[in-house]
Amino acid sequence: MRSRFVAATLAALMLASAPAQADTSARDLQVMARAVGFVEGLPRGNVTVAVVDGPGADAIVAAMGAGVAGGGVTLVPRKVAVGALAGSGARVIIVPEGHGGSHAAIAAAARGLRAITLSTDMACVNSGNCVVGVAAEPRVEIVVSRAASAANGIAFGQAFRVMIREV
Amino acid sequence: MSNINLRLAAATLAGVASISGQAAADNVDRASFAELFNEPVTTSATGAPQRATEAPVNMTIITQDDIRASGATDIPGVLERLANVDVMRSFRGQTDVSIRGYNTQSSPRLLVLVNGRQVYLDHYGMTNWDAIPVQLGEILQIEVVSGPNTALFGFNAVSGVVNIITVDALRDDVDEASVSAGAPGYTSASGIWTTRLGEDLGVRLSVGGFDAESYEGDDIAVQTALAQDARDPMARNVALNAAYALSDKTRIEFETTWANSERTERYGEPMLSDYETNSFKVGLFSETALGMFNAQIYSNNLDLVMETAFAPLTIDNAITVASASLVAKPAPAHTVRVAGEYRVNEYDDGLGTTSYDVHALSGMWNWQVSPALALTTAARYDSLELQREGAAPANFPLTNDDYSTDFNEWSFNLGAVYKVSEQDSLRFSAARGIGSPSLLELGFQLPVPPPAPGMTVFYMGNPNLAPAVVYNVEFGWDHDIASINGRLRASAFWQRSEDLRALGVTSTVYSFVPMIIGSGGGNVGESEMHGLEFGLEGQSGRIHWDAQYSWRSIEDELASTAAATVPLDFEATSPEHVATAGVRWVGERFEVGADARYTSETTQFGVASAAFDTPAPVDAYVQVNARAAWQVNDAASVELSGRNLLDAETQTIGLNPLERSVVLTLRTSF
Repeated sequence: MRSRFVAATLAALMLASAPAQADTSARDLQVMARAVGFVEGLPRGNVTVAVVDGPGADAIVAAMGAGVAGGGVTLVPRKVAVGALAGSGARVIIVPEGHGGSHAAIAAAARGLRAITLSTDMACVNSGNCVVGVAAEPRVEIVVSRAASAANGIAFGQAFRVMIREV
Repeated sequence: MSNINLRLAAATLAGVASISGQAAADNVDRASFAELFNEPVTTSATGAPQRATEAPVNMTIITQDDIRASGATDIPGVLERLANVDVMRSFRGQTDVSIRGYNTQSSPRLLVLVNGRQVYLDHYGMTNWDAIPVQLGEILQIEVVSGPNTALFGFNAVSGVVNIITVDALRDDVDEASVSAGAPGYTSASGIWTTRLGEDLGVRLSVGGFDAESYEGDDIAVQTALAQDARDPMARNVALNAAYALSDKTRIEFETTWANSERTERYGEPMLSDYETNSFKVGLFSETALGMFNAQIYSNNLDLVMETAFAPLTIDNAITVASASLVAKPAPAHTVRVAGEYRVNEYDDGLGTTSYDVHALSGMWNWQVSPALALTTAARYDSLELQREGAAPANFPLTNDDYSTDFNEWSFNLGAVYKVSEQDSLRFSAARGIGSPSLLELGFQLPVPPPAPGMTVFYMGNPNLAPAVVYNVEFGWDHDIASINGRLRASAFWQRSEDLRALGVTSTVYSFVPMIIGSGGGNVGESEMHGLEFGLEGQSGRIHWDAQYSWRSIEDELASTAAATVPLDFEATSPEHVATAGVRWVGERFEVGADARYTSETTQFGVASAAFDTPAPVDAYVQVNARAAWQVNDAASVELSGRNLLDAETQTIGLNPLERSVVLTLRTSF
């Protein structure tokens, strides 16, 4: 009885305050742009970002317009199909919600490109397929997969790493 | 006040034009991180960078927007917007600040720093706020910790810590100048210039000062004691900051400052004081394979001349501090910090030198147990050795060997932050803080006029004083309220202070023939406090508002300090209830606001020229301030602010009445 109570309590603690899943908003994209600014070795200024084509892609591209600026970079969107990612040359990839079945393929392409993958789909980060998970509301949450960032050769400044949650 | 209105705060911070905008070697780029997380970022809780809402201590961050909105002309005026901060203005120029009561003249309980360099003066353990070489316009944020944090900052962070963070010389381009004039008798000017010398070197020069007339009550108080008017307060200060990026992972910082402050102050008897301070600091910050490495060395020098009823008193104090720390994240859920510090504090009284060395080691471990729960443990060990060299006044009863004493103390901070939901966080903290006796309390040697011929009397320090120990246990609750675009903060705390000190409480006959008497300091007992704090803030369209309440219930267990230089009766002198409220309307070019502060009745010593051993009741009072600002164009603004507007004169917890004041400021940025 006592061990079940403890387990249930621990489970509640683990699940408490996990960011709610939602479509990628303009605010989420702003946070993504700023987070990219803390990646070491990425070019500054206008950076073309591959938005994985499929569910949610059109909304993200529309929200980004001519580009989303933050942290010294401006992310300029371009829709790219999963199958074409590996040859796209993209260093920044946004994975919309609803691409669960393609996470592994996206991750493989990103590793070859040494690209940073960002998504509001935390399952992609928790599974080690995406590097960065972002939620802007109700408060900014940033989650980084250590395994994915190491596999893709993505390094962040140490102060950034201390302040975000790593999985 | 922030943690208020986080989006506005973050937007304001982002508005500080960033030069580099890159993920450079990071001594914590607060402006960029605030923009990222949409809330201020601090290192003043644990030494590692943290979001303000995740700090395991009671942390309030006052942003540049808060500073401008306050209409204050000095840092204590900004801090006074917080209900748990008491600002005691005894003379126009003598200001003492405490957190959660226990304020006295020359209060030793609050540690004040600028970018991690102490500006708290170690000769007596007090802060001369006018001598802090920082312009309001170059402050990025003020990080206020309520409660002990000796485990991070060392001695005298017992009631709290005020860490003033300026804009960065390399990353932030701030250029502005302002002039102010007001009544009664106030003028000031300030200038800040930032420039880049190549891609990697940034330099910022800031200069400022003020002249003011003493209040009528100040003159009366000094006439009574010294048969002359009070010394009008003035200050001049200069600071030069430079930052050089050796690489994208390493930077060096340099700072040098100078300040001169003249004022009238009273500690027992009125004194006309002239402070001159200077400092030099070099810092190295590097991202290494092991983690974020910080090292710095700085020296603060104080030359103080005080004209007293007896004779001019000269104090020459120098402190040198060398410290290093490493912050690392060895595993996804664990952040650790280790640090060491060495300091030397010297007081030259003209005949000899009293000094102490402190060696300190500290460690911090933050464990993100789950997405919702973080635990923090910090501990520090300080070892102090006192010594004296040189001569002493004739017939002085102690030898240099009597000053070879030492003490060793542990301090700790434990904290837990639990995110109950997306709107609610709970915080628990427990701390042990240490308040070290100052050099003057330990080593003062001053002959004073004897009460009768044939006697020799010394006003002297006590090398056997024990440090004060402060325990604090606190629970906190933060609740975001979307409907008001704001939040509620609540705290409940218990605090116990042991081995409190007072000067002049002991009278020792060291010799009968000849008669030699020493009046010195002593440890006088304990005090316990319970308290509650509430804060509510929000925004509705263009209207920003906030309200705070602080309740402190204090019980003293003190030996009689009636004979002390400054008697202690914290139960009576600390306000039990303080409430603040503010509202402002922010337009495109025009902004107007007002705030009020209520302080409940107290008893104070030495009020309105009375002798310092005379307690007198001070009625509850309300202070009202107002401000209007007009952004003429992108480069120029005009501001009118008034303080203590309700009455021409208000008797506050300070010694002499405060007068109503109005100031007009013209500001330009370029």
